[in-house]
Amino acid sequence: MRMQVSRLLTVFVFVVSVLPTLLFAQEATGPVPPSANDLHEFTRLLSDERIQNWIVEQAAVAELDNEDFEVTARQELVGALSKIRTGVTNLGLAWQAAPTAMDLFRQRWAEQIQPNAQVVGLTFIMIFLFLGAGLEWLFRQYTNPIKLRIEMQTIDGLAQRAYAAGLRTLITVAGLVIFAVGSIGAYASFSWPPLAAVIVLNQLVVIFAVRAIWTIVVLFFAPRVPELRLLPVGNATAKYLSRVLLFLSAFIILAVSLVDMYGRVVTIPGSDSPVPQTLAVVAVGASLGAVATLLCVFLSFSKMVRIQGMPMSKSQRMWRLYLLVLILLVFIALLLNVTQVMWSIALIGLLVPALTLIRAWVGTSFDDANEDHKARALKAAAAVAAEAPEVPDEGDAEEEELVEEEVEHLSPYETYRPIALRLARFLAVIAVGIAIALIWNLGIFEPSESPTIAGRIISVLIDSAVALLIADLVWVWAKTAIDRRLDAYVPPQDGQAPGPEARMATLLPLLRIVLMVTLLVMVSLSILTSLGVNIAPILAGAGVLGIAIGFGAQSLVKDVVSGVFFLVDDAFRVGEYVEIDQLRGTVEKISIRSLQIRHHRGAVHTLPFGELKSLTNYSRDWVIMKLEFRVPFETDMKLVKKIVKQIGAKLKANEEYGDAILETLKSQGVRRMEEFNMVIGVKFMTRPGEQWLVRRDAYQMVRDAFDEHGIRMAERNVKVEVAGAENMTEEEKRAIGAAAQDAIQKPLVPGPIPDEP
Amino acid sequence: MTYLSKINTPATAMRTVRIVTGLYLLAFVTSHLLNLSLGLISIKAMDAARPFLSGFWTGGVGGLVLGLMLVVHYLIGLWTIFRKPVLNGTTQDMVQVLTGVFVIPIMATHVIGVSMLGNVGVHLDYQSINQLFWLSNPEIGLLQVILVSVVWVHGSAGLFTWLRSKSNAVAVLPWLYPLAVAVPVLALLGYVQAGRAVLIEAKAAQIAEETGAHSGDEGGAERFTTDAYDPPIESTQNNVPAPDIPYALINSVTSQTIWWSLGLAGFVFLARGMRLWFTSASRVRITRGDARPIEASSGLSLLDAFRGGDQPHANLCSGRGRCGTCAVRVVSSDIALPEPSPLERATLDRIGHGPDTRLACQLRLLGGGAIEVAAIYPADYSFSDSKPGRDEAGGVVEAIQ
Repeated sequence: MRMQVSRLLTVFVFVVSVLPTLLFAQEATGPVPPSANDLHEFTRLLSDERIQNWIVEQAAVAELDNEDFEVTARQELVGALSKIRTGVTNLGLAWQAAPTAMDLFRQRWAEQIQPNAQVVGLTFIMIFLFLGAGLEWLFRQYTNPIKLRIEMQTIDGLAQRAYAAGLRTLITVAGLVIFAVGSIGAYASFSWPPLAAVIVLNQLVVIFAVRAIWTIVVLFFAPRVPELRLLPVGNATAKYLSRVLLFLSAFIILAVSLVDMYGRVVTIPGSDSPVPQTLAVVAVGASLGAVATLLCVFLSFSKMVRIQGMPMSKSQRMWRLYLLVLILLVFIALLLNVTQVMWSIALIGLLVPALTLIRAWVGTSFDDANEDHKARALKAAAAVAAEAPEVPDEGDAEEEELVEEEVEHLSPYETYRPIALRLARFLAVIAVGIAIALIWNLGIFEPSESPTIAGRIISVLIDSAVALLIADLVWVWAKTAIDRRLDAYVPPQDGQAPGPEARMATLLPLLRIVLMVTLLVMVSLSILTSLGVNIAPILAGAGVLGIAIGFGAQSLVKDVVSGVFFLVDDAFRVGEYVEIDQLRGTVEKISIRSLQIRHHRGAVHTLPFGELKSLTNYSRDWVIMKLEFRVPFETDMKLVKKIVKQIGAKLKANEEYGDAILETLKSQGVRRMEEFNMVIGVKFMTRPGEQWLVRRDAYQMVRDAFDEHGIRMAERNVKVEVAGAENMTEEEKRAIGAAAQDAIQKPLVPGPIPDEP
Repeated sequence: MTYLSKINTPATAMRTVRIVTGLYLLAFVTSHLLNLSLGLISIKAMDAARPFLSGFWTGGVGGLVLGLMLVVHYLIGLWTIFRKPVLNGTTQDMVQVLTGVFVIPIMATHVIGVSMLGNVGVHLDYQSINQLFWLSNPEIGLLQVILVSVVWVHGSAGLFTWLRSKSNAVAVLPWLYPLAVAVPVLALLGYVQAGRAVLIEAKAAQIAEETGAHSGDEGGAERFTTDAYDPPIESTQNNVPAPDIPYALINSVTSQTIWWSLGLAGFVFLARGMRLWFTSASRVRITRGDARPIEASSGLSLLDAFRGGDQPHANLCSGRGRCGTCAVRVVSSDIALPEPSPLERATLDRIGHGPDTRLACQLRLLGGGAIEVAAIYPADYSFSDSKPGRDEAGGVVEAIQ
């Protein structure tokens, strides 16, 4: 017994001691507590003076680093200036080293590449090119007929032209890709010594790049096929400009490739020191490129002047000067080796004329599209006229003018012009912005803090510009769309029921204002964010304010929101006759919050939308009206039916309201029997608003017709039967008549006729 | 024999001769390139197939026939260059002229070297040839690659132009195109493969020499300084006393051939320039259908004028007067039109149209003035359009008759 207890106790103790270990196994396996030995060692190290000094030094350096990270504008300026100074110094060195550039190249070339290897490399390039070209030729044999058909077809309309030009370019691009895959792919399947690889690949890429640029130039200029030309230029201009562009791009690409090759050959692998001769070659290449570009600009301008046959205008001179200055600036920046600045200058500098050109391009494209549309509409009108040859001659000119005017007005493209303009401008600016951001390494696609002040300013500018441009684009799109709808809306003429567009006339201005406010708020918030302002408090404040105002203006909000839904439901329109609770009248005005109806006796009721529960609209589609006539029991019902039918036909033939009658007057026979007469029912159906006139005439005509055919309208009469009346005196008879008179006098309350306004 | 019966005028005869010689030469080149493509397997395979694929054409009488064909084809080509009013009408024409002119200088080194060495009894096998092309004289190797490209481009361009003008070749063409690319590409890849084998061998030998501490410098130097055309392999490999090889003679014959052919071509171009210079040009205004009128200088053919004015016009045979697809109906003309040549007459008779129909490629505008024509076939016409069931072209043809 005791044994067992002690054993149990042991087990218990064991479990208790193990359990925490098991439970906290995670922590236990983590940091193993240092042993006493370690701690001794650590204290010894800490007390060592060298270690202490080192730690102090590290701390100081770390502080310094932290300070350095926040670069001030002054430091940056100093850095930029020193960079430029270094650039100038390097240029001087390069100038001195320039005469030896070729010798150095020859020497390094001979060192690194055996003469036989050069020729073998060239052999390989030839074979690769042949392979690529052969495959492309094969592709072309099958696609040439398609291409020819595209070039041959008659184009009408801008869209078709763009489609055909795009398709043609697609075929060319496919051929180009096959060429690249054939040649560069064959190159890639061999293993090369590193230098030879660069050289061979450089040449292949040069050929590919020039061809790609030519494809793009052909897409826009189409020098051979004026039908497919996207840019609004003449044949001679297109030919000349495309050639100049091809030459210039080929020249620059070749120069860049050669300079790159020189640098790679001359630089000794593994050493980072720049070779001054490389800079000399860069300078030579840049100078040649600048001269070639200047030459091309000048020649193009003089050629353009010759083609247009007029002396050069002032703006053309200005643009020429502008391009000249731009090229020189880029050249200087390239020489000073400030690549980022160079690219920025080049891109922004080219963006300015590009925007002008884009505006002109979009403008002429739309003019063309309008012309096409007009021509097509005129043709259609002419076809219609030809089908109806009995049109009198004197009206022709006028009619044509009318058609022309109408076409002008109806051109469907005109409303898109501002949008297209903004979109094109937007895309151009965004492309340049992204390019500049990439060049300055701003990391626009991930949130990162740019270290330099210039970088920060540029990134803020780009952010704000993008926000503004997007907002502008959305705003212009929405505004033109809304304005187009509003322009198309024709307010109803007096007495006519308004169409379904009427509610749009109510809703759209509201939408426009809401959109404008939203966009303004969003743009300002986004600009504030990019400036670094923390907008969270503003948002929170706006939220609190919004809630407060929301509570205060609860019913107002309710009115507005339910108003929007009533309008969306199309429950009523301006000019319709409605009944709300006990109020009736014509809808006169619909505002954001309320509805005004005018009673037919002139009173105006104003009803907030929030108050509307249900609404009866009397002006929709059709109205049935029922009329009753009381006739004596002996009336010939067949005759009545015939008469009513005749009257119905007469009403339908009325030229004032005949068209508005949907179902004309017809007899419904006897509706009920009353004490002294029977009630004949007739009914008719008309468009809303027309029923009153019809009813008036119907009553009148029925009465006249009954009169004519001897049908008497039943009158209230009292027949008094007195037993032994024949013996009565006149006196007594009169007394009885007077007594019966009282019974007639007792008013017979007529029920309300429901369709009475 | 049917061919011979058709030859009844100098122009058609020359045309036929050009086609026959060209086809023969192309057949040889194809066979030779197929031989090269065996390099993808091994150099031995190249050598094994050589008697059947290359030797068959070049040995003995075959060699003479081949040479004769080449000379005749070349001379006819030069005559065409002299006669044609416009050389750069289409890219294809320009390519044909350029490749045709340069083919002889490029191939001279190869052809004369091999044949003259063969005459003195040195028979090169592919092993030695590849060593020559890839190791000792890589610039000659590069020249061979250029030669293959030039010859093949010239040959296949000619072949396809000829076939396109044959209405019954339409079905074959789509199958021939891949072959036309495959043959030279395979040949070049075979050449590359063989070259790689040779290069690797040489590298291995070099390493072996270096590790074996041989004083191989002299041999290597000798190997790499050899002049234009002396295969060093003969003496080392065949173990027979090298025959007396007249290198100087071979070199001089080669360079003379190159210079003479270039001179001849230059002379032809000069003569052509003189001819064009002396025939004074005036302006012609050409209207075709409802297209905008174009201005051209006289002396051109109508088709060349269309090309110069960027107006597409059907021409399946590239203006050689064979296919008849460029035919136009002359609506009005104040230029005296020359009578149809027998070549044009023959083609017109074959396609069968009215008396005022002419071939745009053969109708030369001699003198200034204005001419109005109507095209008979749409510009994107091809022979597959004339198959039954496609009546647009047929409709056009009927409308004109």
